[in-house]
Amino acid sequence: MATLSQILAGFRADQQLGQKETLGMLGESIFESETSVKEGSRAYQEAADDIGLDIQKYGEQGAKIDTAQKVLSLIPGGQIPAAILGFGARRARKKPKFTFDINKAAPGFEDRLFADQAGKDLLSSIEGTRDIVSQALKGSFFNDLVSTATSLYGGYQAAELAGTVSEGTTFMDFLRNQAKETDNTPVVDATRNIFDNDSFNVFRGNNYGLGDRSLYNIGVEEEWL
Amino acid sequence: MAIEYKTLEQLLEERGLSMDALKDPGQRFGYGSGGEYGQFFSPFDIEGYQEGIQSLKGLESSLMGGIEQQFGFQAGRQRTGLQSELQKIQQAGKPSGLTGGAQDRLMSMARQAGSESYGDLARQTSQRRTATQEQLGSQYGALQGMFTSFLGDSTTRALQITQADPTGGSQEKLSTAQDVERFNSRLQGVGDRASFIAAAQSLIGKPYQLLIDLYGDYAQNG
Repeated sequence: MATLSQILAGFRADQQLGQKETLGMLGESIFESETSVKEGSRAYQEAADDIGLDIQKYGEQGAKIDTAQKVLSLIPGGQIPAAILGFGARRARKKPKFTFDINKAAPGFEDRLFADQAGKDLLSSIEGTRDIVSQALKGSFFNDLVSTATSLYGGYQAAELAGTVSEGTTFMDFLRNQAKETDNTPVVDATRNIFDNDSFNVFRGNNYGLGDRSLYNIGVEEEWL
Repeated sequence: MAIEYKTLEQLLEERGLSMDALKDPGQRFGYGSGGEYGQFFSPFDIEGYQEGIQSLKGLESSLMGGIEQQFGFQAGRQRTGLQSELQKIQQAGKPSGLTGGAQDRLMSMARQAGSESYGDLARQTSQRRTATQEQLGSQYGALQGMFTSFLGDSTTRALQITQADPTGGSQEKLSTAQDVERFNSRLQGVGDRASFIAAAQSLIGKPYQLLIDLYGDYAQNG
């Protein structure tokens, strides 16, 4: 028969063991929760960096299309095909998409028992990024149309400046390909054959209020000024 | 003075608690065994405690009974010894004749010695009784200490859980009508919106990620 001391010691040991076991489980669960949030944060950071790069690339592609459209618009009669091509190219770009699934990135995140606020903060950041990306791409069809038109108008201004359309040609004339073309011989130089002598001289002569600071005056003889 | 035993119910009542505090210690902090945090509490070993108390009571009964029994035995022996002594004195006076005064003095001395001896025995017995009760009392105190310590540990455990910022358990976010409306408001085309609403309605109450994916598809094509 067990003595009282044995019974008491056994009772005490059982109680302590129970406490230690549950304490261990608690510690493990807290650790898992925190690890899950850290893992999610790391994966989110990577995804956010990736989407940032994708959006930047998307913007750069748009800028290249703008430039190409403007250059093509300088070719007499090329403005509408350039606009169509530009618009098509803009629409053909792959739209960046923020597809971050926290459950895949950090398995067990949703089932974690601890680190509630840290998890909420992470989810809020993910939602925020999703909103930013959504806003950045919002109305992309309309944006592409506006961008195409802007490039068209930019092409018109460039053509006007380059003198490939005569004075008095309106933007609508330009669109209808009814520009009054000049018979100026284009300057063959680094401007890729698109500037003619007169318009370049007009451009230089205008000075645009820059006075002596204008770069176009550097090395220019007195009679020009 | 004998040990004053209290039942677990009495001990708990003194603290304004019920037996639930021992059976489901997390419950009073909102972390009951029905939830996912109940696993971080271990129940009090009520049986073990009661076994300890029973064992203590048995030991007390045995030890105290032994002391009383021994006292009774020794007191009886002393009584017998005294009676025998007194008889001897009386017999010694009969044939030759101790004078009455001498016999009385001898008997008085014998009674005084017997009385002193009994007093010593009673004092020793009382001391043994006290020492035994002290020893048993400390064991009972140890048992009560484990009970009190258990209640304290439960409070500490609840505090540890609270400090670790509990989420409330598994709570996978499910899509709500508000979520559908919120995502819908971000879409541009009216046609897209109508189509999105129709598709998203079926996702209400389902994992939020599904709604996100659906919205992603619409936003991609918008």
